[in-house]
Amino acid sequence: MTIPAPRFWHYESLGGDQPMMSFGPDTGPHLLIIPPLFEELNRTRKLISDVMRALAAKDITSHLPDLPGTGESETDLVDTNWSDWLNAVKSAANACTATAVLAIRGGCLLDGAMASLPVMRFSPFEGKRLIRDLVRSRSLNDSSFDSNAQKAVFTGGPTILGGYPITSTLACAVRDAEIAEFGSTKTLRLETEHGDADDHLAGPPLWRRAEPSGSDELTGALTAAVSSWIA
Amino acid sequence: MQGNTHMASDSAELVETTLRAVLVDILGLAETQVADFDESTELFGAIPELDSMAVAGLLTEIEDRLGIWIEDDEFETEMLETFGNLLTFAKAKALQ
Repeated sequence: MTIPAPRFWHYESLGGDQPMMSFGPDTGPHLLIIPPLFEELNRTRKLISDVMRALAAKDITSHLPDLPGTGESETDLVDTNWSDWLNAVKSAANACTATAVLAIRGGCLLDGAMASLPVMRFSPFEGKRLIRDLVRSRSLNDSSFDSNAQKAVFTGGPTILGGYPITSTLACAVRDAEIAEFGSTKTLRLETEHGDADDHLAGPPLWRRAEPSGSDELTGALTAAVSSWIA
Repeated sequence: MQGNTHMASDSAELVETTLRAVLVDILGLAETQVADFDESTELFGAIPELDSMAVAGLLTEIEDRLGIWIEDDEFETEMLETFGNLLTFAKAKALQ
């Protein structure tokens, strides 16, 4: 059996090249993955690439864009706002001729841009919880990050949260972002999670682990859920 | 009334089971270790896995699993001192 190799290329957004990683054949379904945001992206990187590899073995092609200002993107995050990310998702979908979308965690806040395609959501995470988690994480580890500094996340900034310089404009947009409601969505959650879901998967919440790691159990469960849905 | 009392104790048990599961999943503690925790078991400062980096993830995961929202001014380090303190806080939030 050949192990599918990743393909690294670019899609265009914000007047420049943005990185994209793809696995799988050119034929068959094309799945666009909208990744988790900020620190959770780092913690789920291995899970996502493991799932992409496993999908490729089932002849499902998947594409993972870096949003402008994140990952390997050369755009400065401080020059990026929420609508840029919504547009980037659309551009990435066009570039990879997406036929379906898998949005993960905070990435589900951006999938409204893709309402014309079937969308599967994995563990959707509310924007206000996402940004508060980042603020809380810093406040517990940096005594100078007092309540005034925490308020300034939404009024001043940019503020370093989870290693990213986040402007107040972006912080407010994330805080106020809602999971869009449209017809063609299916929601997956972990068995241990609270919240509405169409299906539950067994596995650990890797996005909470301080040390990024993978999980064969969760990789298998997510791959099976996506491949039976997309078929 | 009998029925309500039963429901309340079932929910309290669910909160406790959830807390133990979160400690296992987030801190990577052994299930057997966490099963032995009682009200007086010391957490923050006593368990090396529960450092300040881990606290935020722990709180957010507890929120996710219990469907609660912990305000910043509700959080005090005292509630992480013992398993009993954490349990009391979580029950008060989840069962209100």
